[in-house]
Amino acid sequence: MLLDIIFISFVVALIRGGRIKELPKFNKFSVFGIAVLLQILSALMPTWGRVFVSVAYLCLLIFFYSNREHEDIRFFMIGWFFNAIAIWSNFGKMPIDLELAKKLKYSVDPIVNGTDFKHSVLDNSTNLPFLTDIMFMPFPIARVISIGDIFIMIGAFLLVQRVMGKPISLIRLREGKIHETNQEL
Amino acid sequence: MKPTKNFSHFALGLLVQCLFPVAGLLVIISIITSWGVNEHWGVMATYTILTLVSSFTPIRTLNSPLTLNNAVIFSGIVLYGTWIGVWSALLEIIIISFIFKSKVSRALANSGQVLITVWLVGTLDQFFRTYYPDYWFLTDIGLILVYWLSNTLLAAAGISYFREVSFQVIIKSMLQGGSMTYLLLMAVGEIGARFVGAYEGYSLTILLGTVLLLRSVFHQYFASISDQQKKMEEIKNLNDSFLIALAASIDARDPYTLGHSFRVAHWGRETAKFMGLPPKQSTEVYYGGIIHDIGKIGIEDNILNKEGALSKEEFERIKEHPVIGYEILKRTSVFPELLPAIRWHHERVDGTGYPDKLKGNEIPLIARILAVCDAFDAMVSDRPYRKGMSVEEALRRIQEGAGTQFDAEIAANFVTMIKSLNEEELQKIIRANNRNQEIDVSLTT
Repeated sequence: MLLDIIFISFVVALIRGGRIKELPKFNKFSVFGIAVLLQILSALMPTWGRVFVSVAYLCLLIFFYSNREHEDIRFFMIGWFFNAIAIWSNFGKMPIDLELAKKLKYSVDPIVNGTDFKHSVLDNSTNLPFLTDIMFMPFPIARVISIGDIFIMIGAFLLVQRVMGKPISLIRLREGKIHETNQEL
Repeated sequence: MKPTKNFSHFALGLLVQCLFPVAGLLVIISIITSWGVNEHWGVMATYTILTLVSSFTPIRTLNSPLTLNNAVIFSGIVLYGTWIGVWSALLEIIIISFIFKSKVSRALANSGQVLITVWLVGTLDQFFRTYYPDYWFLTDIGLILVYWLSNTLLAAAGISYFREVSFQVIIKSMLQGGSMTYLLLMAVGEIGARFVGAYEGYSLTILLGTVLLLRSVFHQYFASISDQQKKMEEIKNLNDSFLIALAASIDARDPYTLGHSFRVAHWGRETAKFMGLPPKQSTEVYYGGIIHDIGKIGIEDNILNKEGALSKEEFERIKEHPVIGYEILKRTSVFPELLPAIRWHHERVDGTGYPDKLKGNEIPLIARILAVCDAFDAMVSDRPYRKGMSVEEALRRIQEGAGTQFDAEIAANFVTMIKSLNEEELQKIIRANNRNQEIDVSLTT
């Protein structure tokens, strides 16, 4: 679902002179697998969707936590944490702003009549609405995103840079040391 | 004294670990309904991106880089109110805590600290808006000062607690660190907010350009300063290695005194430290010790390496080494502060030494210290043709010479210092015959 972002990240990494040398290793990759499986199951069995999605988010947080030695994963965690809070506090579905959703080319009917396995309608009863899908992102693929998604996208970008051997360290950026890293490289 | 210190640490802990987080939570509770308002989400999204960008584009200052985060938070308070300031501040803390893997206690204290400041400034801003709306240009300056003062004091309290350094020291270093840059960035935030308030968002482009320019000006400026600092460091290292090479070449010429210069240097520094001299002076004594015998380069090998007694002429020749060394170093015009160590380390306080027959305090301190150390090492170290005397015997002779050959106070200090060392340590240094061993020893002591 982040394919466009990942593709752009790859292009940027290629321009920066990065190449894939070896695939990154992750701890507890099985937990990630379970999360993906649960997401697929929730699409197949919409009645259990709320439970599956909630547990999937929990699995992903565990997966990220066990890989927290990497900065990009920690950045992912922020985004996933925001999204998880939004989903958990709204009983397993991510509320989405209907006005914005109508701008997309998909039909909003499943969301309105409750058959969409992941999304529900954002209304006055929504908890923590500012963490739900409230931003329209027209580019590269039009979508409605949450604040957590911003962090996830940046995390994805950083992860791809690292995989391609051209890591960008946010810690070094924050400490104003980026120019020194360039010299080292 | 100790109980008061413990009590103040406890009080500080209460403030930082309990009051800060609780106050922070209360601030969030007081504004959280504003986050639920539909019209606010666009602003929140914009400030999320602003916060993200400003978190990772710091502006260099001499001590530590400053980020624009406080300026962004401040602009939010002035433009929209406390709620957006709290949002931006909270996001920054979350980002930093995750990225730097902060401890929960620190993250909580830090967020409390920032949120108190945001709330204080936001509330004051509301007050000024209600009662003095026409004086916004004055009240804005007041708000900037309040923000800076509150942030600095509260952050200093936190740092003081976690690092266990006194509050005053932290405040001082924070004020020296870049408070003017901090205020400048806050002013930029304020101008930005007023710009947007008056002319809509497009006016931000000018401001953005200004900030980018500021960033690069600061970067160039501080990069050139740190460049110079690096060069200074290099020159210092070069000097050090030059001195060490000199000392090694002296010792190499005279195999009987292998490592002598380094041992004298070591004892000199230890004595200086023991006497309570400042670190800079102790280091000077060390380097003085390293090159004190440099003049031996000018003495013929057959005299220097002669076994057995020297003739009168030969001894007179040996006695020229302080002057030879002095002339050599003087011509290079580096290390002028070490010249006395070379020329006068064979002077005696009773005025019968050489080359200038100086008396008492006419002999510079560095030379008086090295004279004791030089004599001690000469007495206790082994020669191929004789074994070194015992430490006790050498110390007895130094005490005997106090007031005639040696400065009485320095001799007394030296004896006490040597006696305070344990036997193993002492023998290790006395037997050290090259630089590496010597450095190992100086690191362990």
